Amino acid sequence: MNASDLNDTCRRHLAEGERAGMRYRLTVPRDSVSGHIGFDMGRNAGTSLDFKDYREYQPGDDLRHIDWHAFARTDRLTVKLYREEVSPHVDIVLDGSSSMALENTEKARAALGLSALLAVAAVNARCTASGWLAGNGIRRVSAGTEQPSLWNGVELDYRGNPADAFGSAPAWRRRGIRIFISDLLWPGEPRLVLQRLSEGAATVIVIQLLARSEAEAPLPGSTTLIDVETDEALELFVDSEARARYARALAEHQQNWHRACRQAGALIATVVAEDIAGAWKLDALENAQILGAA
Amino acid sequence: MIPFLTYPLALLAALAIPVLVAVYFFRTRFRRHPVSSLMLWNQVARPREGGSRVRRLTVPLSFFLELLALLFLVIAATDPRWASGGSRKPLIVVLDDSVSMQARAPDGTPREHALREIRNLCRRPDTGLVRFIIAGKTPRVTDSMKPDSPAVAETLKQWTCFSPASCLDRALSLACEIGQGRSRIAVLTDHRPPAGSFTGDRALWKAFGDPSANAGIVNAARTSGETKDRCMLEIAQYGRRPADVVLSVDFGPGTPVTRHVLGLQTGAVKRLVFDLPPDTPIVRASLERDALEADNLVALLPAPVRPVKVRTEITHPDLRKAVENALRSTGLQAPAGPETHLLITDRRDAVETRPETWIVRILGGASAVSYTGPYVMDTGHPLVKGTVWEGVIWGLAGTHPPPGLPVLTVGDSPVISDRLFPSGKHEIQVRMDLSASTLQNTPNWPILFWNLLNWRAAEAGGLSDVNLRLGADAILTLDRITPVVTIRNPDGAETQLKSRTGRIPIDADRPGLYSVTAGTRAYAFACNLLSPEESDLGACDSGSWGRWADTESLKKDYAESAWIFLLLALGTLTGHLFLVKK
Repeated sequence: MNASDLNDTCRRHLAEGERAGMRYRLTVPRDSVSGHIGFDMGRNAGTSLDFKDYREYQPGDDLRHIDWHAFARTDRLTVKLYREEVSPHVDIVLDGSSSMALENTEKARAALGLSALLAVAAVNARCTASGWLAGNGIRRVSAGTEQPSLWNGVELDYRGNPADAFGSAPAWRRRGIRIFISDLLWPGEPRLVLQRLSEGAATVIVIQLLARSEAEAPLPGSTTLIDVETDEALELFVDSEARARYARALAEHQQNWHRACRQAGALIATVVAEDIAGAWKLDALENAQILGAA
Repeated sequence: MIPFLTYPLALLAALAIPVLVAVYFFRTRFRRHPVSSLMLWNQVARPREGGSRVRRLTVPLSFFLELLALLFLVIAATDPRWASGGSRKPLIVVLDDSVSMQARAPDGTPREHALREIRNLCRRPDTGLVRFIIAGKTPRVTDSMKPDSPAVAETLKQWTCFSPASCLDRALSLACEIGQGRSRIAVLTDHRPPAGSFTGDRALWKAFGDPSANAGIVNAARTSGETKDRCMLEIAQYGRRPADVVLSVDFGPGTPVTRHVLGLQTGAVKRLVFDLPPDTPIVRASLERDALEADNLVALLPAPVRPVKVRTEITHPDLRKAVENALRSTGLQAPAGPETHLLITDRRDAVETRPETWIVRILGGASAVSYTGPYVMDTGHPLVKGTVWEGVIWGLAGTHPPPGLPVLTVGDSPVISDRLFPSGKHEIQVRMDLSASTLQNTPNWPILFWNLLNWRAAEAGGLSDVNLRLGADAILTLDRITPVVTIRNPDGAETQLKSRTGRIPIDADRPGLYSVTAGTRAYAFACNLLSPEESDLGACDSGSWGRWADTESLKKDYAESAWIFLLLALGTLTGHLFLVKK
């Protein structure tokens, strides 16, 4: 498939996710977000009508906010603080490694579609959204702040460890929501990635996207496993015992991530690409209160 | 023991084995499966429990069980049988020893084909001891021998195929009697079995003949006379079409070979008679080369003239005249001298004590009674050879039975008797009265005297005949005891015989010239085939009749073992089923 066809395919998946995202709304946590002036209540004091707190009068404060009743009681000048009105931002970071486009699976379709869905769901939640690609570093996709169907350069072809992309901090919006979509199937401590994601974030959401053959192990028989990122091969006779061992290893790995996410205060959910691609029923994300109905 | 496969073609079912291997090959071939990372699979490949690393077989056990079951089924399908005790059968081979077995065909003679068949029979794994019956004039049985022993080849050297006839019926009966139903019998010959089916499961008849055209000399004789010898030859042509037969006759050195072209119809016999000077040596007649060589050459030796010294002491004038006329007509009489071979008398009291003098008494009497028969004669006695007694009136005189064995009887009365003395001397008594008989007026009278003088001449010393037909024996009579007699046959081989009685039968077992040396005396005789039955190759045939061992007999000789392999296959498939369910 040439670059043009690849691009068309990506755009098609993004458009599909964009359409699916119309019925979802990202669940935004109220007490932690911050952002630009918008329609939601920020954490800081602002000019909305929602009372937030008292503080002592400082020269320069708006006299209209002086609480005269409190002065009468206390002979001290205090001002009322009101919540600021903000627009939360969602940074959607998509793992750009080639494992996210695993052949003979719906992973690429699900990854791109989910990214676009989450972007639209964020907009439905009166957030702004940006698309990022984690590969050789983390970069914003071209037209990443536009509607997902206009995103460009979302190639899932990085042949390295995605954790390496989090070596330097990208220009994410502070106090925003960061959503990381990846299969999380790489060696290394999740803490490092979560730490980078959590820096200055209001909320971190990790969505593990697995293909069905990754979630359930391949069919029994003599199999040559090919690592699509390193081209390493492993010949293995997959039997029931091997499948059980794989399931245990996967569960351990997921538990490791869950533990790290708990420690980092991040949300984590696992979806299977073949389950979500097409129908786009994201029960797992709804159950995790990441998404809600629009 | 090598098993016997009843259905060896069933081994083709083993072609299913590579199919099974191919199925498992493609089934167990490693499938390529791309994965996001080998991180989790490396843990699967290297268990954390540690300890020795056991590499699991990639070919499942079920493959080996299926392969084993398939092998058992293939073997069972071939119905293997193991030779049980007593499965080797004795073999009796009846060999046709007649001359026609030497008839040459484009692919060899019947004898050569038979020798190959004997080799094949001896190589069979189920052949036990072998015995041969050589069917010539009489059947000759050899000892039993192992089929792979050198004794077989040595014994077959005795099978020369020079017999003028073959007694296959008698030989076959003898084989059945010797075999006692336990032996296999094979008859190797050049013609088909006698009319009627040749059945049974123990006898096999194989013919290797070819009905070729052939011409041969079927009869030859030479007679010696005072002024000339006479040769007679009969040539026959046995072919499907008339043919010209070229006969060459060599009368000895100094005379040119005469050539005769005889146009003969199919089955026709042409007689040629030649007059020869009396001193003509050996006469050789030959035909051109054809299918059978043994009947193309004939040698005729001059018969030695051996006059018989006869003394007559006959008082009756008519009898004396009749006797002397008969003696003269034989041409073999010689005047008696100090040595007398034969005394003919009509005196009852004549006595001759010399051992070399035979006595013939012709005794008449006044009261003779005439008889017209019935006559009974000893047909093997040389005195009455060639006589016919129907219509002859015999005047019998005297009532006392004559001494000796009867040669001719009229009713129950011996009229000619022969008494043999221990010295070899004979006394022949003829009880006949000339006046009451017509014998002297019949051809029997000169025939009797001819036979008498020839008989006496033969007993005087020398060969009974110098031109023999193949199959006949030459009798050498020695006038004195000789310790050793040497016989040289046509091949040059010499045989030495010892005789204590002065009479030596010599078996001429092949055509050609023989020489005999007894002390200082030398003799020679010729043996010729002269057999129309052997020269006629039209009855020769090729083919196989009869058979050995039907299925039931074979089942008794070989134990079944297919059931063993079927049980093994069943057990293997049961194990396979158990394994698959597990």
